[in-house]
Amino acid sequence: MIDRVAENILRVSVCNEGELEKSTSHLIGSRKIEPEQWITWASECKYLPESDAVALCATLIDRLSMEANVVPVSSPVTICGDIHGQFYDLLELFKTGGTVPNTKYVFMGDYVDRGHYSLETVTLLFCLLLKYPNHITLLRGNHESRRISNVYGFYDECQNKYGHGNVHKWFCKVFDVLPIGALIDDSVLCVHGGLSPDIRTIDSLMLLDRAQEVPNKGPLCDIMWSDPDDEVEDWVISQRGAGFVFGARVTEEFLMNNNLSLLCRSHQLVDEGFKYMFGEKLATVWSAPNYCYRCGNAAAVFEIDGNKRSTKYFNAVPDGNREKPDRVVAPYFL
Amino acid sequence: MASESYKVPEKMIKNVFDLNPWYFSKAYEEYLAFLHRLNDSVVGVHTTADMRCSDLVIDFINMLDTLEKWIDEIPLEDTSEQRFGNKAYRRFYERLCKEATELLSRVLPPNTHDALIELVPYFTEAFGNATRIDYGSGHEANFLILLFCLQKTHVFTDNDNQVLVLRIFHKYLRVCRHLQMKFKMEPAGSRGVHAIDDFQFAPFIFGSAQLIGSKNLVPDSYLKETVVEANAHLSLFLDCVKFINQTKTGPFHEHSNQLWNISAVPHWKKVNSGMFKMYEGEVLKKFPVVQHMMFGSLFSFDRSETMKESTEDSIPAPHDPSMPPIACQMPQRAPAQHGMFAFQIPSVANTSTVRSSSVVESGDLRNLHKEKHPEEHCPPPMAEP
Repeated sequence: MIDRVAENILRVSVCNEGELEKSTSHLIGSRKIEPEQWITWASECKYLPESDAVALCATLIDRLSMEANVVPVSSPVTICGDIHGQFYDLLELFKTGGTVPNTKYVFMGDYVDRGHYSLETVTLLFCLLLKYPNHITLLRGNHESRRISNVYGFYDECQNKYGHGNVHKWFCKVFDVLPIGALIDDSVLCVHGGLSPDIRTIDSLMLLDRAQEVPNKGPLCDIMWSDPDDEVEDWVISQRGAGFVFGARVTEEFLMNNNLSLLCRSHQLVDEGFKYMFGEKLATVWSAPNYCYRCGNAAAVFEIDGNKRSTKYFNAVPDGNREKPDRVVAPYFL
Repeated sequence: MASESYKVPEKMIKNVFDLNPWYFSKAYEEYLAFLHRLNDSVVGVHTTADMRCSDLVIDFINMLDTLEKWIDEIPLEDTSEQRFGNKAYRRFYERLCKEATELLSRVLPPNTHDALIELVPYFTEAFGNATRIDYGSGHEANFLILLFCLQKTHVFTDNDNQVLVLRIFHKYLRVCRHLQMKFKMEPAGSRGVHAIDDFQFAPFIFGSAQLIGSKNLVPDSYLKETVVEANAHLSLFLDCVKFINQTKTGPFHEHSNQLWNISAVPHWKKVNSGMFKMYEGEVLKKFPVVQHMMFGSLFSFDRSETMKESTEDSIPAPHDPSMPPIACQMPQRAPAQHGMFAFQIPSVANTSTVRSSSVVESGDLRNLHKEKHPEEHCPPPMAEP
């Protein structure tokens, strides 16, 4: 009973019907959609003027709402893991894997938080998605949510850079409608975290109501929060506080039931950037090199072309001469 | 205290509705007061200053030294089959769990041995998580809670505060760094560039207190690597910055953006008080951190008697009918804000920008924005009402 009440109160409203639209209505339609111009700006590590950012988000929401939960993608395709606001390393990723639209990409979520350039990173990816919808697929990760991005940095960044939180709200509305899975050649399933005990088939994944804040529990939450583990048989509650830890047996069962050859996911730091588990039935791809500027790890992208699979590795880019920002003192210290 | 009054500490913060009781608990109030006492004892005191250490303190430090020897002894496991952190850490943790009671009982006076069932869990949870092979400010808090409990059981007195920070906590810091480096522990739930540091918080509090009144070091000085190198032995703050410089790569203003920002604060006193506020806001009020906290008879989840009833607009705490409404005028506290489920979005709209050590109004963010987007020809971002 308590739980039900809690659930109702805790559920962050995706949007109070029309509220955000009303407050920013003067911005919608006030700007031309200019994907080329925006991509040029975004590639230089700049974020868009507010009205352009809103126009970008509004257009993407219209389009993504029509997409299925699990989008079909045909190979050749390059699969990427967490980015976490490491903008310059994302540019390195494109150098390694090829540029859009010459290479087709699937990103498995976690574009924002922790890194220094969450806003610029997600802006670039969204602009590319706007311009080349058939050459880039962005899945939702556990950080593409209000609860998490309010805490781990993306909200603060939007607040600092735009001076208010509206743009963050718009980005979160796009996050709500990002697909949660990609199915490559009907044979490889990509998700952010992993499996859920409530999901046995891809069809049931298709039936989830995804257009909402990532819940605290249930299948939608598990898909974005779960982790695989060698030492686990089937399902164990995850210490992360959400999702499950799942083992080789349930993974094989899931692949068999759905006639798949591989489950591809990110969500966990991997030292080399790429790691097979469970006898090459599951792959973890990690695309944030030298994570948190300290971990010293490599990053990888995973290429699938028919039956051929290969991994390309890349490292963090040297600092170069990045612009030193002004110091902004947090209210704690005023 | 009778032995039956001690109990194995338990997790009490299971969901967001437990945050308010935590916020108004004896544990919260007393722990914070304890940190303030520790903090005040080291104001203006260098890490290397002479101080008297009792035999007990020396034994305690030797005990931590034993842990460090274990770390050296444990061979690393082959990394080819591992994701990131080295699984050999689990050997360390197993040994810690097995021998913790023994270690502590050898150090602590016999009359406190009844309390061991309550103390040991804080001790074993202070060195990281074995499943995830990670470490964060929650683990650090467990060590401080252990010290808090030892003071509450009169093992240490207020006269020991300086020694607790500059000898015992300092030694603990060494052990943790050793663990972090050797086993490649992941930062636990770090906020990345938005955090002070991936692993620690408390040394930045104590260390900034140590620098209050410093004649030649201002907050701005720690941006210079040579200054940090030359003075790291004086303050835990600079020692931590030195460790960051050694272990992180990339531009300082990116990887340690918070420290970069804080360096613009004019005085150490301001830094110190800000660190306390930030510790409350970013550690003690964050659900993802405190959900792992454990409570017993010493670090008690019972409601603090001195605390005022929560205000109406805060999260409704389960009403305790035994508590009479208190009319006394305590300064109002903001409702708990926390990570996983923000009821109120923390507003940093009042953020000021500091340029060449002068504070400019927040409206200048617009100009910043314009500078960044000279080609922008739409109205500037609207200010929040």
